[in-house]
Amino acid sequence: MTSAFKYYPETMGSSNGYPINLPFPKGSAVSVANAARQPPKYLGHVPSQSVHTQLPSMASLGYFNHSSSTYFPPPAQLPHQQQPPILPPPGLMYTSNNNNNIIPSSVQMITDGQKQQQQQQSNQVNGGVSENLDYDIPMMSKFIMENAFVAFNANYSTDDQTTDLFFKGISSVLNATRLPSATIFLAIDYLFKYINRLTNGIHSIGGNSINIIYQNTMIAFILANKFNDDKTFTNSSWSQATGILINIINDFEKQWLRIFNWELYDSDFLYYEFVKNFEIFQQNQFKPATAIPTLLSPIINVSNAGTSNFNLKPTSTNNPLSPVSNYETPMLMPNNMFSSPSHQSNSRSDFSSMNSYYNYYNYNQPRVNHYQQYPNIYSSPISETQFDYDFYNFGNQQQQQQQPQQQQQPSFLPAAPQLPPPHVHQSYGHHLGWKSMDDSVNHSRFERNYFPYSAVY
Amino acid sequence: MSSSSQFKQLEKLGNGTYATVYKGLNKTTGVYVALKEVKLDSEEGTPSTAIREISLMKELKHENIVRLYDVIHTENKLTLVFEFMDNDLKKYMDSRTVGNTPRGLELNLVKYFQWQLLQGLAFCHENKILHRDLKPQNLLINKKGQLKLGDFGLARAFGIPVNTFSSEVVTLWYRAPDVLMGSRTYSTSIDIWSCGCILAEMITGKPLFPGTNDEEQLKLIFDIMGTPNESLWPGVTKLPKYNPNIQQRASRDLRQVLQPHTKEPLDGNIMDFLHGLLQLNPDMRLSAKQALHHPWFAEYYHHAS
Repeated sequence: MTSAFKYYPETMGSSNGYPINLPFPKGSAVSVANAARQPPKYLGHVPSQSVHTQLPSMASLGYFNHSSSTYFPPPAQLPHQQQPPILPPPGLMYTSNNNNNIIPSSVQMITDGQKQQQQQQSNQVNGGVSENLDYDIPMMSKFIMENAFVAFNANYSTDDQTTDLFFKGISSVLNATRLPSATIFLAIDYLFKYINRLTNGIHSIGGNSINIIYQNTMIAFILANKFNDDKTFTNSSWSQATGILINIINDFEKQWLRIFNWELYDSDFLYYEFVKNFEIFQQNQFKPATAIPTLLSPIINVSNAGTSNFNLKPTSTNNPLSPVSNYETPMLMPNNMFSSPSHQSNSRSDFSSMNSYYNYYNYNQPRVNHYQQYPNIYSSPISETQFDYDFYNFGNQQQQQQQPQQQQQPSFLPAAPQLPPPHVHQSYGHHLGWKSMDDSVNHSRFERNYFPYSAVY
Repeated sequence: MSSSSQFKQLEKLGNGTYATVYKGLNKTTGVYVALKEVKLDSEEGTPSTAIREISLMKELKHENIVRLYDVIHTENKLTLVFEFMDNDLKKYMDSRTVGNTPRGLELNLVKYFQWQLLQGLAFCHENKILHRDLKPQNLLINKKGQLKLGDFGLARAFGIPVNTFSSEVVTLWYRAPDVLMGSRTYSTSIDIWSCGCILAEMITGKPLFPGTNDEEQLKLIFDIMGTPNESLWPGVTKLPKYNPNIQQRASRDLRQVLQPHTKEPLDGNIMDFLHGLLQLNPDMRLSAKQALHHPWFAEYYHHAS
């Protein structure tokens, strides 16, 4: 056998002895053990000032990797004492009493960074891939988030704490890596293609919990960066930037390459469609019609827009917009692809201009058998059953049912508490925000949104 | 999909930029292959060089590009299974050295190799791929006289706009002057310069610009090709590493530089062709397609198509 790699649910399962995203980088076994024992608990809202703060770049940690001659740029003094906090990526929530473990883990990271110093050369002053970013990070983060949700057919409300964390995680990663927009668009492209290629769609990779979406989005970033940029990062740097354990990154990367059959190059990549869509997306963000404070999830949004009966009823085979087992006409699809507040005022024109690349993905499906699964981009993978989607989304009494004994993916449940954010360390220890958030967060609300998707399986 | 047990590993053929290459025997088919083994490091993950080489070469099916048959991905090793080639151009030229005197190749062989090089390269460029490391070591040849481009570890797609091109590409001796001066906006012309250097090297048997560092490399280039200025090359003075204090030199006659090292006379056609590849100004260099239509190749394209 060429590859011993198994599908994610098995590979990542409890047999491996670790939950999906362990809170700390390797080397902090104690923390890991603690975290695994903790019940999922949402601990904190991200401090508001930090998202837009210039974060220390990955290169400043000395993990910079150049494709032509792996070298390590200057350490930039590793000013960890003064570093602004990096946001915890979603899926990596702190458990409440782990704060004291964070320090050791960051020390570990710094040690690693210093080890690299000797090998470093000195021409990478600016840490990330691009010196000048060609986009606004919060804007791009939203764009990525919305696309990722569409790819996973996830209808998370964007004013939710979970998605807020997701958003901040993406922002923090973009801050650290400074990926050029072309690479980001390529990553989004990969994300759609990856799901298209999965035999059972998102079913095959454990569904569409925020955690899974986050992890896969990050792998898409990693592969797009490695494929497209001359400045690339090692997986261990990515592990620090994303908070995802390196073993998981390595496993996912391998699985992605296998699913892609290594075909990451597509000379037909619709770059300019992405550019255009991102522009439209940005314009919509600024429209005064934007009365709604945060973005709506695609599906809710569209249904609000009153374009036919866009509701979450994948069980309804009659609804042309929620196909059950065969893919649907591409024409309708874009409709629920984008959600921006302004959709409400002009959803028609928006979606007609935004449909191009979604059509493209759809268009390609028939070439490959398993593309038939494609419609799960906007229909539930479990659509054949009489599944009360709304109930699972909004009901909370059912949580107990989703305990880990579920065969396929027990490991996803304990995955909630996680977080080893990148290179920011000390700040957590003395950061008032974390602790005080603990009590203020509506805990059940988070879980409610977190679990239902796992429960599907 | 293959497994490693399908291949018998034979002698080592060489060390690539990020891998070790062995000769291998496909036990089921009896066909020789080249096995490029990449050690996987868990810190790094899958190397970007491997990701590019594999994903790009999967797209590049052309008789003048080494064929990638398969990829075997195991826990700690990645094995790329390539078409086997007998030799590379560097070793082949070295083997013809008499004593300490390098000897160039016969001009008809030079032309045949150059033609194939440009065919393979034109195919890359048509597919929006830059090779970025063309040099004799990466041109593989076999006993039939076929030449194929190999080692796409530095290659890169250029179909989508790029703002992060590295100037740390291409082995120094074959690196274009614009890249040496820090240009990051280069495109297909970067490969064409390398082709020019390779052509001269095939003619004489020794590298045309064997510099030891960036500065010396530029000096060697300007010594022969002349120092660029704004009128010949608009924008050159704006390049990041342009040195305004560099000594101004007129270009030398390239034929006089090369002729002493080859027995066959270098005619106007070949010199014109070589100048077309070795333009200092990247915009002035021939494209691979144009090069294939140069009169020097008349005997080939009159036969082809």
